[in-house]
Amino acid sequence: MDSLAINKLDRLFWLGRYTSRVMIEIDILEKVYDQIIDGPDYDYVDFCQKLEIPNVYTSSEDFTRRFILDKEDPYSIISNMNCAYDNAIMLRDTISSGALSYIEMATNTMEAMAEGRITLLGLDDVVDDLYAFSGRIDETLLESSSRYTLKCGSIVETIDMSIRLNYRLDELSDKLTMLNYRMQHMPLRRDGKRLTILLDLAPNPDPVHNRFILLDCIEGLFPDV
Amino acid sequence: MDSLASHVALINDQLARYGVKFGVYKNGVFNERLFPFDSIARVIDADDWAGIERGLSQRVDALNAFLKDVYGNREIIKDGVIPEDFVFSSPGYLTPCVGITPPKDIYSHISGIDMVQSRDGDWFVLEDNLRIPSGASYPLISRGICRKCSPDTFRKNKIVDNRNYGAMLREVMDNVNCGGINVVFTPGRYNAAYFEHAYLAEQTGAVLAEAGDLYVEDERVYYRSYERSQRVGAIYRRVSDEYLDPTTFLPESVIGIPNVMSAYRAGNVAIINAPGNGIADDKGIYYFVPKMVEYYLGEKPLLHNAPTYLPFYPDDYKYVMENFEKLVIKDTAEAGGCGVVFASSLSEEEQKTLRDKVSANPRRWIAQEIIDFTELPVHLPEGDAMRKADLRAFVLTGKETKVWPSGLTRYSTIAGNAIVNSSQGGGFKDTWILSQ
Repeated sequence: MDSLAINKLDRLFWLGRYTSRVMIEIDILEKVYDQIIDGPDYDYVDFCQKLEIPNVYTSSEDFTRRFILDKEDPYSIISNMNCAYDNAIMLRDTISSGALSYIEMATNTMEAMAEGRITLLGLDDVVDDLYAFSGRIDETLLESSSRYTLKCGSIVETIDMSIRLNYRLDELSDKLTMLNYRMQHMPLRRDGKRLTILLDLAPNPDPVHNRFILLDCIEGLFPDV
Repeated sequence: MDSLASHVALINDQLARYGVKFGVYKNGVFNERLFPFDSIARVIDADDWAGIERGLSQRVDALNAFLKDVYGNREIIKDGVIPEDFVFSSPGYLTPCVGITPPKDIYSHISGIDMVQSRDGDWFVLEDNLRIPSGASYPLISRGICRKCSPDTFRKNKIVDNRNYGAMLREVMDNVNCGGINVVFTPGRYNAAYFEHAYLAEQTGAVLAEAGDLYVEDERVYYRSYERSQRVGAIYRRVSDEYLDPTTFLPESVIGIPNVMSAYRAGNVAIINAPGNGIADDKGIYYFVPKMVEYYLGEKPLLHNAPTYLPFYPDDYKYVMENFEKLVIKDTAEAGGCGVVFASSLSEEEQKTLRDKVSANPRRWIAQEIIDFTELPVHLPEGDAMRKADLRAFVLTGKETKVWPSGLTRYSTIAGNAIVNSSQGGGFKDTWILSQ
């Protein structure tokens, strides 16, 4: 299939972004959830500032509960999962029912947790489903423009979250290299100036000092999406 | 079948996994619901099916002939078989379609014919759906899951494989394609049948497109892809007529393709099903379908309508008024199970109100004898029970008219309720056609 509408590329890109965001946030929140059981409070104010989201939470407990499962909170993990679903559901003919089914299962599991039908152990199933989705895409989405657009979205989000939240910063240089590779195989227009800056910084990104410039470049790299 | 019945929860989990849902709007809010599946299939034996198949093909061929005629020479009206007023007062009759000949003269490529079986085994057609009949995807996807769940059931029984629907549909699209790609055109994910749109695009290898993806230039339709635009030869549209082209129909439509009717009129694109088909599945026109079979094909109809009366005719009006409480009264302006009233279920005052409405505008109403249609066993949370069920059969018209050897069996979850529409809370079953 060589017929990719612009809005499908947009959805593939954002599907990649949202699935990565959900996985990273689950990874972080599972640790936070454990920490606050018998350890110190979590600095959720700092977390919100770094993500540039409004702090609407009243305590560490309130934060962990609502940030994971509150559908009314547009920045929560469940809302991000639903955004991934909203994009995926429009792509069945591109990514296949088989791949889409993993997004369905992850979304259904989040819903079951939100409704209290299962415990937060379900988060592990969500992560498993999203990894399975990624693997299924790798193995079955043979049309490279689609595959790499989705994977570009995924790596962009990983880099963005990495910089914002100091998450696995040791991998940042490799992630930038990976982004450069994936970009070569997808059709989205890129901002040449920002790309040059990113590639120059890739060997030693130093996100502590270059935070602003890195975020500006990664967020503005693909002006059409 | 026992094995399937005992695994019904597991099968429904799998259907949830594949997103087998339909959308409903309640109080203006869109919600997606899983479509409950009952794994005890409806079974139709080979002989019974052979008769149904012949009758359905005959009926759809006659309906296609009627559509060609009514948007062309109107011989059936000139010959007095159908009253002129009955055609031209129908909201389904679209004057912009007059004089347009669709590719290969096919108007209804995909016809969904709703039938019920009476307790003595006879089949009756309740409704013809020739605009955008939906529902084939549900038995299609459930069959694959059931075969995985209980291969022995399918090994031991001679059940005709129904998983060729995608190929049949593809053949229908290719047959009328005017040069270019096939697309399934959807109003978007907030449409009740969005799952089906996306699934059938995948099954046919067509491109799923929505408003903005398609445009018309020089009376040709193009798909706006990232690297280059591609000519579109056939559009399996799941957008209703009034929203299809804002330059021809409702100007406020934002889910249509501006000027697609000019491309269609020029013969540069096939629209599946043809715009204007609503005239043939009007509940009032339904009365005349057996007459169409005789008129166009010179044959006796093989399938029967439910006994129907048109209050428009004085004799029928008299009968309807005299037997009101014994009849089902249907509002021809409604769809989806709405506007169907069993007069016996109404209070005296409600009956009077409805009688007044029928008297005030007889053309708008039809009345039918109540068919005591068969009940099928249904696995419900409270235990197995018998429930009313209908059958939507799918007839595909390409190089020839073929009936898909399966169908959507819909059942009511409420005891005694004859309204089986999914939007009214019903579920569905697969339909097994036995090969011998």
